[in-house]
Amino acid sequence: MPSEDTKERINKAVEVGRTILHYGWIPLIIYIGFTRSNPKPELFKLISPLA
Amino acid sequence: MHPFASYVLRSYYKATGWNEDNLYANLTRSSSALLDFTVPHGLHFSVSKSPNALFKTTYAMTAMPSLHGSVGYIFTSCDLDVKSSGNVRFKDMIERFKVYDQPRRPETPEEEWLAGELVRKRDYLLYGRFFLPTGRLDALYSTRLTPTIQASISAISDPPSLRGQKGDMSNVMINLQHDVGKWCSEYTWSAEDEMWGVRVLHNFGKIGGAGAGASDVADDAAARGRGVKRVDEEDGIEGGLKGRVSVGGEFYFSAKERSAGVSTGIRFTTLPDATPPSFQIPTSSPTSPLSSSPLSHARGPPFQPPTTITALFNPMLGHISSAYTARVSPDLALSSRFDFNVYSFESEWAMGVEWWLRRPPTVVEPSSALPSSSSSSTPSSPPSSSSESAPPSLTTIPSPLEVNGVVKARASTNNDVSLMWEGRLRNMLVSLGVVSDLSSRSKPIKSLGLEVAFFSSE
Repeated sequence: MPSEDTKERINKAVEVGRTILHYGWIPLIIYIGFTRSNPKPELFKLISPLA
Repeated sequence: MHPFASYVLRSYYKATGWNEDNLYANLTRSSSALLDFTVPHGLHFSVSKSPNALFKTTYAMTAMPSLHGSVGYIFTSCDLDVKSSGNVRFKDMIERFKVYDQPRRPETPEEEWLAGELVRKRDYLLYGRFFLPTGRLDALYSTRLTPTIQASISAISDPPSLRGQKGDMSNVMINLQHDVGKWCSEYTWSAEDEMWGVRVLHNFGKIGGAGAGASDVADDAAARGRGVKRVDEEDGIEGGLKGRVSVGGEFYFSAKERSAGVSTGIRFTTLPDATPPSFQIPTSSPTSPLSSSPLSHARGPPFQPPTTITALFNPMLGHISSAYTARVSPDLALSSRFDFNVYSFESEWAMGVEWWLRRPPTVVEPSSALPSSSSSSTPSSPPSSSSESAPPSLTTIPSPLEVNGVVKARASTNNDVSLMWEGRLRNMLVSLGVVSDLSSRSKPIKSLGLEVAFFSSE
């Protein structure tokens, strides 16, 4: 059984990972969309449907 | 009306050859389209765009009862042919009654060779949607692991400030689907309540090919006469409907909640109609000008009306639900469902209708008929009479009657009546609906809603 200390560290790491995914998921999709698209579109066109 | 993201997801499944209909979860999809359709509530606006074939952007705003919005982004590894709201096939955007094609083994993705080496390309879809002002994130990652296995991870994430509080809806769900045509199994795991689930669907009869021919019918009859029934025999029911049968079941349990559930279901559906849908039938051909009357659309019901009959049984809750849905004419589908609980004797009877509206006929004259001639009809004159009186070379050609709207209505014994119209106005898709409770004199209208969607592609 892991000690209480280890459990706390794991919990903290999971929380940090969740926060990174929460705020990083959409920038990640835009980044992948920007780099994998051929020809490369303007970034603003990717971000806004009104452009 | 399908949200834009849902339309893109369906396009992705179609492009990668995945059959989303062959799932136990979608067993009652045909009747649900008529009986459980979602009526818009409040005001919704959405604007979407696909700047290229791989990337899609969508903004949505809801006003009344509360103002909130969302931004969503979708990336797919394969090119998708996403149309704009002005020229998308209207029926593709509507949840509707449909006799689904016979199940087939999923298509193997095309092999790509690069410098003499086989490059395995695994298709995937990434989706993220951020809600304002709540800060909630919806995320989805879906990928094809092998030609017959598809995995998806979906998540709802509330902002860190809300975590651990009462309203925290955060959850992660992992889903694995294995489809070989005749069988489809699905395994799910949900993090919030640690729930495991298994769903299985089995299709009897042939898969993938054309429907049974006359010789098969004769064989079946002969086999029945001998009292022998093949395991994979396609069952017919009274009235001569010919179709296929699917059975399925679902089992789930939660270690955390110490609860479990089970349900089973059976579905009979007629074979897909061999005649193309009326919108595809050419309304005129040079060889048979006289048959080009727009009245040909109003032909009688086909010999075998497309029909789906489903029954679900949940033995733990004692709930039985049986539904009968049929398209009785090219533009009209009717559905009826009876729910009954064998323990509490509670019951509900629901009826639904789906009626397709077509654009008024516009008569287009061929260029050869343009010379001034008193016999050529004006656009306002009845086309059927003109086609009889005019010589074949001057026959007017009515353009196909395009579907441009649908009216859905449902009523049930719990006093709820819902009415919804969906259609295309200029280049926008519009949905207008009302839910009313006829038993309440003080508040007969429960909700009223309008949804406007616009999307375009470059």
